[in-house]
Amino acid sequence: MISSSAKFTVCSYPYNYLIIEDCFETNAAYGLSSVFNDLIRFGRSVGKVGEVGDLVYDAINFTPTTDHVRNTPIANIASVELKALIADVFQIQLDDNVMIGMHRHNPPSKPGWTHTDFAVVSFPKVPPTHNGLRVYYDGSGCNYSDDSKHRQPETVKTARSIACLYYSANADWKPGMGGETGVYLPDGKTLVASIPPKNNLLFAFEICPLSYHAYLGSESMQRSSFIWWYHSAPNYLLKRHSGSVAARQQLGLDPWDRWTDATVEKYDAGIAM
Amino acid sequence: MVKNVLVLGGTAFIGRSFCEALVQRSPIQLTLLNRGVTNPALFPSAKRLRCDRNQADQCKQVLQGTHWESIVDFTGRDDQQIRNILSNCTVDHYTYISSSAVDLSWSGDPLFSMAQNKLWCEHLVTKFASKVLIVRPGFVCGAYDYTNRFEETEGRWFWKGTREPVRPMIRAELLSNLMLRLVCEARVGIVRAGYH
Repeated sequence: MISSSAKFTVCSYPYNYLIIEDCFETNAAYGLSSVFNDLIRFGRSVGKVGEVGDLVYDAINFTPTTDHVRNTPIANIASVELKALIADVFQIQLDDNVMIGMHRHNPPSKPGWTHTDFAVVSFPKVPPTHNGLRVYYDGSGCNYSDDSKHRQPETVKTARSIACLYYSANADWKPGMGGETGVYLPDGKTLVASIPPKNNLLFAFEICPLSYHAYLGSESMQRSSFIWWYHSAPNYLLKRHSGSVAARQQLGLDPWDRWTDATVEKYDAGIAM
Repeated sequence: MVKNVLVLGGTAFIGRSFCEALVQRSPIQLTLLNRGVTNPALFPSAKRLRCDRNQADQCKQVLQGTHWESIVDFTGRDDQQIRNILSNCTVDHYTYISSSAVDLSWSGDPLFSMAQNKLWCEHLVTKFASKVLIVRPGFVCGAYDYTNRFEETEGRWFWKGTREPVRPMIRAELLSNLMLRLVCEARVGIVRAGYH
């Protein structure tokens, strides 16, 4: 399913990530671009994210339905083979849960804020919806962005472990156009790499308490991407990233990115061992 | 899917990390070609060819007339070492571990001479093998690193005794995992590791 002409890059500074250029075969890449343009018309402004602070994300989001996942080229993204490749390369235990979104930043777009994505989330307690994967869908009655202990007792709690951005339906990117994804040091301020939004490029990174990244904004370019997250058991992730979890805790900081404010009791993910 | 692989080296550092992943997670038959000096007891299920690749006569004796589905070369650094292997056998797919210095070094840089040799080796393997995967890693950190140059603190790698981050840097495990996948699928092209 990955194109025979795909070009692979891996990096570990400041955290593990994988770039696949010319990721899908031409037909699949074209199909994804086409379905993106069809569906993003139904997207809505993301606006305020979570309940913490007043951060507003300057983008339009559309969450594909189960039918879209099953019956359009989005199936390339929600494929068992791609998940297996990602799990293999990062050697990480993923559960069945996948959240897929489509983001479009219309110009001029503001930069996002740095964040790690290391977050507990909620999935509906239903059987897998597609090829053994439980793909989140709107209308399930479950709020994905919920790390609370009590608000949705009927849901499954899991945590983001791998983030994937796949750039599609963009103008040909050239340096200076902006729209990259920035990779930051653990201080969340120092930009050390940027991933250009070239069509048919997949950027996948391992989420941890140090995986700071942000959309870099653009004056002139419309930036479009599929974005999806694979998930793992929260306690497994705390153990896997015990070094950086401990470092955050020693500074009195929460290792998790939080959706809910401090007054809300959080899902207990256990402790890092 | 590749069924058998000849690994040149494979008992130290990134080569060892790769072979460990291969033995633990794939059904591929592993054959090791090396001098038998470093960690000779590793990978007991692997077939072994004892050979110093600097010695043309040894390579001829061990390899002449053989055919390999896949060769993964962790130890080739110069023209003669490549010729000693590839003039004696045939191969469907060759993976050559080069260096980020091929892309990043410049004349006057201490790594420039090594980079020139690596670049020449890249050219040479493409003459002998029709399907070639080139891997250009930066500084490799993590499993089985015997160089004692780096240390990990709070999930990050620094030059030992300093707070200077290692760059360009790739973790041995991540590189091994990706390489195993690409070797199994007989992928071709250039893999950059630690930089882009």
